[in-house]
Amino acid sequence: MKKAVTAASVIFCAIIIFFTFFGEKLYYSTKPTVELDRPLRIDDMILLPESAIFSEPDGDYIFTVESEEGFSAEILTVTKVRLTRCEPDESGYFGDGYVTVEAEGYSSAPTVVHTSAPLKDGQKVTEE
Amino acid sequence: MKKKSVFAVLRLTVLAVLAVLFVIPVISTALKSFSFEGKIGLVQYWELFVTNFTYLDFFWNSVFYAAVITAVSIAVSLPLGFLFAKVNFKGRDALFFVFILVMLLPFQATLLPNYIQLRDFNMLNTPLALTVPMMFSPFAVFLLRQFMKTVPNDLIDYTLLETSSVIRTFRCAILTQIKPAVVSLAILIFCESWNMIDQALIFSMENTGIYPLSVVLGDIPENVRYAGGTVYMFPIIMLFVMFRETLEESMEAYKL
Repeated sequence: MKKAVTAASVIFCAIIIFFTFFGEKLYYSTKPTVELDRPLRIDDMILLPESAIFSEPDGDYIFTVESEEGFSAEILTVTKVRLTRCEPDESGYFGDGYVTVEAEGYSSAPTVVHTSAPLKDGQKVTEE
Repeated sequence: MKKKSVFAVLRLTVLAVLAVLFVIPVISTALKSFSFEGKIGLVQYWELFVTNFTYLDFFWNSVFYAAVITAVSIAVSLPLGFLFAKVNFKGRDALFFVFILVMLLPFQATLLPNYIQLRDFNMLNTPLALTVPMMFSPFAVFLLRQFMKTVPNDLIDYTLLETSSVIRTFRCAILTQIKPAVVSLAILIFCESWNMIDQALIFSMENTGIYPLSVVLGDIPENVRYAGGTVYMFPIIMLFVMFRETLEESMEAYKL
């Protein structure tokens, strides 16, 4: 019994020491890093950089981000938003590389414009 | 004879029921720590140590406070216990009576004087505020005095003649005799310090970063609470299992 407890204690201490030094690093390195931006609005148009648009065979979508205050850091969770409209911006206000988008319930939420890895709906990410 | 065995069975049953009642929360906390969102595994621990990485900062705060308080408390209480047990001087019993009186006072009664003193020494909101008030434990002095009283005076006199040194006499004649008692006391003080809540909340209101784990345990996210509770309990259970024999030995020897 005592030997088992001693072994368990050594393992416990090793785990605690390991995560004390590497816990934070693991938190930031195991999640995709994203660059966030808010969409631009001109009249009724919502504009986003082209890099914010992800395409699938059944249509285009974007990822919006919800943040909540966690115990140790701000927790960012991405939500996949299906676009109902996605067309190149022809107004010329911001030059090339912008698209006008429309999606149900989407107006000004922070949006992923660059990501270090493919994203999934509900995934936790860290901001660049 | 029959009456006696019935009483023994009854006593055993009551003790077993009480033991189960005490063990159920510990076991269920430990078991639930291995499930996360309906899946069995170590994900809850991963979430605790990685997503809530500052949890371990508070864990180390607790380790630091408990270790320092235990070490200093024992170091201070040993000579004081010896003083009250073996050294004859005028007013010894009166002074010891004051010690007992302080021991009987609840923490809340000494809270305000402690707070004022810590404020005057600019110790509030520092780790010193959470350690210094607990370092001087009248309970430890009382317990060590009781243990030291059982050491025969002849042994002390003989050792003093042999060594001609008070410190060596203390080490050879007293410490060796009361070793199990010191270990037991260290465990008790460690547990008390590990579980401190009131002191931290009152003496460190403006610096939550130095809180011990016992205070922040309620603030950790719900989905990792069982893992957090298990990690919090583990050092105490580990200490108890490792030193159980010494603890029981001293309790039996000194009729505690």
